[in-house]
Amino acid sequence: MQFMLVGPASIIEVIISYITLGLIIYLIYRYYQKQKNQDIHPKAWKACLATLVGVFTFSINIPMFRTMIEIPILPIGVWVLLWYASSRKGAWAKYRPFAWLGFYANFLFIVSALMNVFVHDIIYPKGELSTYIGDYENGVIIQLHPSAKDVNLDKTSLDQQLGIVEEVPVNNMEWYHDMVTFDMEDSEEKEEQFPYLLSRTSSRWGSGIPTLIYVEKDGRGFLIDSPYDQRYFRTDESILKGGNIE
Amino acid sequence: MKRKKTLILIFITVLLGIGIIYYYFLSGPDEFLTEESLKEVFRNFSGGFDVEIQHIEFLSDKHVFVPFKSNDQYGTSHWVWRNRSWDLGDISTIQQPSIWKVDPKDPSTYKVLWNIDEDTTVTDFDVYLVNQRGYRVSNNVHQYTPKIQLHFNVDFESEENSYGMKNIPAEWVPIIENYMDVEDVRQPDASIFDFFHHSGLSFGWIPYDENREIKFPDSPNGHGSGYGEIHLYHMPIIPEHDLE
Repeated sequence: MQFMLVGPASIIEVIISYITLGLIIYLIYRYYQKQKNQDIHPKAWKACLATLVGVFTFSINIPMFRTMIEIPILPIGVWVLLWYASSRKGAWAKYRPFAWLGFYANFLFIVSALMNVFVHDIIYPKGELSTYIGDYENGVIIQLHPSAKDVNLDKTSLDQQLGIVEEVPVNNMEWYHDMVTFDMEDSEEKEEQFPYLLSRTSSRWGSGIPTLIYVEKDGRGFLIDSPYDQRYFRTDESILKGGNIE
Repeated sequence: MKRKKTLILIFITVLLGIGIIYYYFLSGPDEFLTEESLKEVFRNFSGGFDVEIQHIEFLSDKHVFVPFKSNDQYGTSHWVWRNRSWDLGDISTIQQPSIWKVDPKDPSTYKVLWNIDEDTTVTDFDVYLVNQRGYRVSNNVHQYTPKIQLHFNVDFESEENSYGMKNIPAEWVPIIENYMDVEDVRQPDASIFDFFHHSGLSFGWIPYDENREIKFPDSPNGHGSGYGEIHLYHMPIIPEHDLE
């Protein structure tokens, strides 16, 4: 159930979590009705509790598709219930379906974790700048480096560029070597390729993606750090104004 | 009947549990330690010399900064309210400014604190926020980390006291916030080369004399101790060749 606990929730994550929970409650209800017909049903709250205990497993965590997949191995919760029921006649027949339902729920969690990633990618495409810069009403430019100039955010320009901006590959080697290998003696003159931060913006509504948005010195590039990866976008026109940058 | 008794028992236990948790973790702090008991701690720390408490500054209701002076040594002490008592979190006479993350999740509560010998030739110092430039390539994915280098100056010479406190600049707050937002949810990388990547946003300082030459405070035999995690960081000196 890791995916429900990590990070700021996206709207997709919230919806899928509720659907998963609803499905499990529905399954409890179905099993409950089935057992009622056979006249061996436990009390409703005990059925829910047995399911919850059944969820506990020994599992292996594997990071996959930008999320943590927990693969259940040993049904610890089921064993606990079995041990509990062993001293009570007829109890196991009552609890068994719910205990295993709890165990299988772990696979439902895996499916919903994967669904979360794939649906999120469809609704919030990771190759588009507008996914990362949704609301920039209060956006500000913050200087990060001595080579930064006194510039401001040009919201009108950003507004225009958001529609036509393109993603390009990061060629960091070049930037890094430009910085590090040249000008060793002249270290005070170094210029940072990305000396600005675009802050007080938020990623597109409901996406829940935290971002660190670096702006290139010519005002025409965005280097975006998110918890998953880094993206680089180039615009036609500068989104900065003032400071006499070309 | 027995069932009812059990229910009442459970109810009382839960209530008691909540009460204990509230008392232990959430209730407000008691009055701060008396000057006498503070002095005793400082005396023990400085080897029996007489001590002078210079100031008592509450940074929050649970964080207290107490600069002190003994035998010509200038010391700082940091106190926190935890587990129902006022605990000494850190004490030092090294004269190195520190950054105290009063609420680690909220950078606007970060404070720079110092207590430096007034007779030193240090006239002012710069406090830095830095992130090293970096690059890496793994599985054909390129990543570049831009250099961050910001500073503000503390005009130590014109300060009234040997000790002092400053908030970090307002522009630093969103930078640190954005940085933490991304780092806190970053998924662990399966790559074994991941440990090359952890430089991170950090603080540092550089002291200067009147000629703007780098000058360390004269600190004979300074020493310090920390007790438990209180999110206090003594700032390292930034090597000059790291500056751009």
